[in-house]
Amino acid sequence: MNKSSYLSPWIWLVYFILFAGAIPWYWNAEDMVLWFGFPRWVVVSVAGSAVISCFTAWLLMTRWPTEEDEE
Amino acid sequence: MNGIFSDGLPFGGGALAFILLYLLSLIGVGILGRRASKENSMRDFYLGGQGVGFLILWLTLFATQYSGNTIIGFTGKASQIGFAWITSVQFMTMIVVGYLLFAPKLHRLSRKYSFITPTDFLTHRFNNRPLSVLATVVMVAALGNFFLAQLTAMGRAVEGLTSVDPETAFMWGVILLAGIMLVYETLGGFRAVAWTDVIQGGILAIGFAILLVLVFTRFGSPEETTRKLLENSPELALPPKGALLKGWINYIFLLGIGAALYPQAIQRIYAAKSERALRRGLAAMSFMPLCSALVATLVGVTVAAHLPGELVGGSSDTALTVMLRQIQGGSVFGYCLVVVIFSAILGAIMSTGDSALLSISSMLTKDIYAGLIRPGASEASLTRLGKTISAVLVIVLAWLAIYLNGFGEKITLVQLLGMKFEMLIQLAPAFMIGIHWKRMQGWPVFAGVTVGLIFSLSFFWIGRDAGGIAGWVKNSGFSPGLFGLVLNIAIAVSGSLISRKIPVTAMKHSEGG
Repeated sequence: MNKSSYLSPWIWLVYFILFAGAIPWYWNAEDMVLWFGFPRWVVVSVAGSAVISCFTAWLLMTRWPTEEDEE
Repeated sequence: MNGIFSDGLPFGGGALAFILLYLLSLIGVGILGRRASKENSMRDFYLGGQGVGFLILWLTLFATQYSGNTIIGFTGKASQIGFAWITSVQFMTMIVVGYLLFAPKLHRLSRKYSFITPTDFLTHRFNNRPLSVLATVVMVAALGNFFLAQLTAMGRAVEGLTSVDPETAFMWGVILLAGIMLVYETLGGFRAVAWTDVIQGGILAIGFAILLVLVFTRFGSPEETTRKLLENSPELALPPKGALLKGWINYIFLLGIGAALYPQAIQRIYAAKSERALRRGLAAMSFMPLCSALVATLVGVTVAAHLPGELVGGSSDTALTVMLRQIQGGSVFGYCLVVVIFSAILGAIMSTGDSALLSISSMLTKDIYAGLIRPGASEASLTRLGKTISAVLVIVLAWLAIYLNGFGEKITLVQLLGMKFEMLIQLAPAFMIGIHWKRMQGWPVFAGVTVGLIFSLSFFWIGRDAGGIAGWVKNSGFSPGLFGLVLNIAIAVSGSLISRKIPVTAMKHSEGG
């Protein structure tokens, strides 16, 4: 696997897992637990979005492909 | 839809002077952009000579991608569906993920082959004129719709600011703001647009920061807000299910992919001074949804929790009006804050509008006129023509915005955004797959885009009571555009795979592409 390739399958697997965690599909419809004053699922969803942002920024800063990689 | 201040928040002389000064400063920036111009060429006028550094690139991407709709429409939507609008944070992040798929290579190719418009890449890659023309038409139509929405938003922003009747205020708002936009854009081209974006993006960021502070200082703790929602409108605070959940996922794909293909954003990939500037700009952009869409959602939810009575009967754009009315609250400080937030809204609308206008002008000039009508035209004459096209576009679309307003078309910003993503997303295979997969060919891609477009757009005329597959798609909770995209990809990929003969010219073009 090319170190700088942002098309590697594992990267998209990580994205899949992160989005699967950030989208609130798995919560009980009546979940009323609060964390930090917000509904628990909202906190998890926003935290998941923050992780996706960090992961994306990391990819952009460290895995940007060079011309040789593209070839 | 009502104007932002239609229920009576007229500004005094000081506030109007501040706003006027702000608007005039944009023209000043246009003059500076003109002075910084190095040559009379399309590369210089439409891409700022491809010398845009990190800071300006970041703020111009921010100001371009985050329109007036991000403040007004997003708060309104959150007031209607509650915390489920957190999806906006995710689809705005998804846009940056979408860039990962093609921006690095596209930037490199744009430097190597001097691309000006998104269609330049498609022509280079596929060498298929019908595809290039179709893609240009799709992008111009999508951006035309988008630009019209920004013009309408300009009129709405000004309605109710003075004692003049709303329709007259709307008309003069559109004429004044679109006129100022046209002046600085004609003077300085991309530089003026990007530099004014720095001012507009900066004020927009300040506006969001003020809103965030106000949400927590004026309306009590988040817990108080959540408990009120759970008590009075629990559906706004409980986990989304059914249609809301499908809508959440739909937005992530439709807007995440579609908005990554905004022509004006693609041109910012071209305009970046270096790969380093581009990757830093995009990395910074990946955090912007947490600073903007999340704030807009919190504002909308807070209004829904604390001031539900004021939302009754209003449109999706009412929540911010309610919030501003509360903020003003008779105090001088609140009044000043409203002035700054109003300036942020104007900045967001104008910065998105000017980028769309410049992009449409570049495509009509480079792809249609120079590409089809007069291939040998000089750079200077094309640049001159581009400025004329911008002026004509502003006049025609401003008239249309005013006409639709007088005609009684009360379309909310969110609704106006509708069609363009259905169209833009059909270009995803050409850009995101075509840039990497050398076997992909022009005709299958053309066929895929055509079928995807016809399929998607036909659903605007298909009712929910339709039977068969059409009815199932319509009621699936997902955009027909996504189904169209699946068809589109299937045709483009299978067509390329089964085609035995790969044209020599296309192969040559695809080297490095």
